[in-house]
Amino acid sequence: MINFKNCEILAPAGRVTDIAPLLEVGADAVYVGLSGCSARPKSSDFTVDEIFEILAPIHAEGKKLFVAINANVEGNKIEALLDTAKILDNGGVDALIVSDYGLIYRLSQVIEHAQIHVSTLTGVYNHEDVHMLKELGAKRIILSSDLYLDEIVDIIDHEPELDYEIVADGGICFNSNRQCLLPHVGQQEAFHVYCQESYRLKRGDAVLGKARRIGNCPGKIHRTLGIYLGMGIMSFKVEGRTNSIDYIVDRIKDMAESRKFYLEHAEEIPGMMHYIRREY
Amino acid sequence: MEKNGYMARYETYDADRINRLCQSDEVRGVVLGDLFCQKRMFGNGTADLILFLEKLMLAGKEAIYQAPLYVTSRNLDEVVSILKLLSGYKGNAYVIVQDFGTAQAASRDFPSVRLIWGQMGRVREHRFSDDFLNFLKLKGFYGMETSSPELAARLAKRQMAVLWGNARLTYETLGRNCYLRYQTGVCDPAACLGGTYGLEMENGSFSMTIDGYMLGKKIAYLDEETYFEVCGHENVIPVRYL
Repeated sequence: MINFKNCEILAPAGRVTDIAPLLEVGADAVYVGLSGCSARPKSSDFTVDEIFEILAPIHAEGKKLFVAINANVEGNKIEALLDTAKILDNGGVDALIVSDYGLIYRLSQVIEHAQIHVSTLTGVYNHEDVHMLKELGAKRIILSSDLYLDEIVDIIDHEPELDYEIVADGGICFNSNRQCLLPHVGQQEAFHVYCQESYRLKRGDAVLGKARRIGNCPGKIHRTLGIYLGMGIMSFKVEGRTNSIDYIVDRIKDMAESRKFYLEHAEEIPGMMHYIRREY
Repeated sequence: MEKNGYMARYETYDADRINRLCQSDEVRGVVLGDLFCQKRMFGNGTADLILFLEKLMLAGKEAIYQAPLYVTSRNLDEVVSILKLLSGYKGNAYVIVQDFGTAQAASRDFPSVRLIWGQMGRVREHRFSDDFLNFLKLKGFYGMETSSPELAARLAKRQMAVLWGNARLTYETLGRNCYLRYQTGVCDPAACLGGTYGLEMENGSFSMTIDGYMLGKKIAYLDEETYFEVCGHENVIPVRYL
């Protein structure tokens, strides 16, 4: 039986000063990027010292800290990275978010305390892959935004012991989040991406008219949180370490409000699942 | 030239083309299977894919099945069925996979089918760490698809085969929805293949072709010198984009 009370709101932090307001408005866990090893601009990454600076206040509130190491790390930096991971592990970081299978394997051999969370950039699409990652020691799968509901349900039903996290607010796009190479401009504060520009549809040289947009609006699934809880997803991530703290705080507030609603109506969640999963 | 022939790789196949390839002495094998949409590669979709794979195997050619980029619960059974077909023949069969789930299913149930890690099985930055290559080896991979001499050398060092292409796929973005259908409302494989439609930024500064599930798709060819230099090395399986 799913315990909906384990529902987690996961907030991004791009600066040390972000932590206090995020915890105050309802984040249960915070994730940060490890300097030079995350998939976001360096300006929003944390050094090891900064990670330990924020760890104590986060744990004092009974909350968790995850560290993203989800960029492809160059071969000659792997050993140093493993040493850093051990320091983070021994220092009490709750989880490492990783995308490279080779690194997941290496970390699984040296990490003793922290969980390994498989990044959404890994591209996990089926239960066979999830099973292999479970055998490697992964505790959480961050679901690819390329998946549809039935595919997510299939994965969770095959491997129900793992934790599942979903990007609930932010860059949920129909372009592949791990293979999109459309230019990104102005990465210092926020991504300005070509998929959000206006395009014209052409046939040969003839302009047929305005094209449909080629990227989604930022996804916001918090109002339908109950459906995802019913599917067995317990962690809801707000994306965007580079966004302003005011924006992120508003998103966390929305998520916390929605969670409150669904936890107050938890008995209705199984009934919401009829068109998604009938063996509830 | 390639010592033992090459693997042919076309964007589309029909029965005539397959028959010609089966009869060619230069052709060692053929790469079949679209990353996204079998209707685009074959007139009769998956039915042709299966038929042509079988024809190649019966003709004594090597068959390389390229599994889709997205293997999910919706198509995993179909992919496994094709692997089963390949494993039923005595000739050399390979599968190019883009995900470890498909690889797991293949290595567990059809160990005679050689596993190749595909060029699309990667994240945005597409750097492959030594640890990743070691992990492929640990998981029973026979080799990897690449057109990078540097990566080919690292694979060779590990006694892994190099599926060595004379070109690589480049693109701006891709997705699970067909961009052509999304923009025009029609499914038209010929328009996909012909680069008929395109998108242009309103200020004209950037443009892309629409090619089914990819925007801005191009096949970038290597210079011949580089291609043939690596072809001569051990453990290299040459692939010609034709």
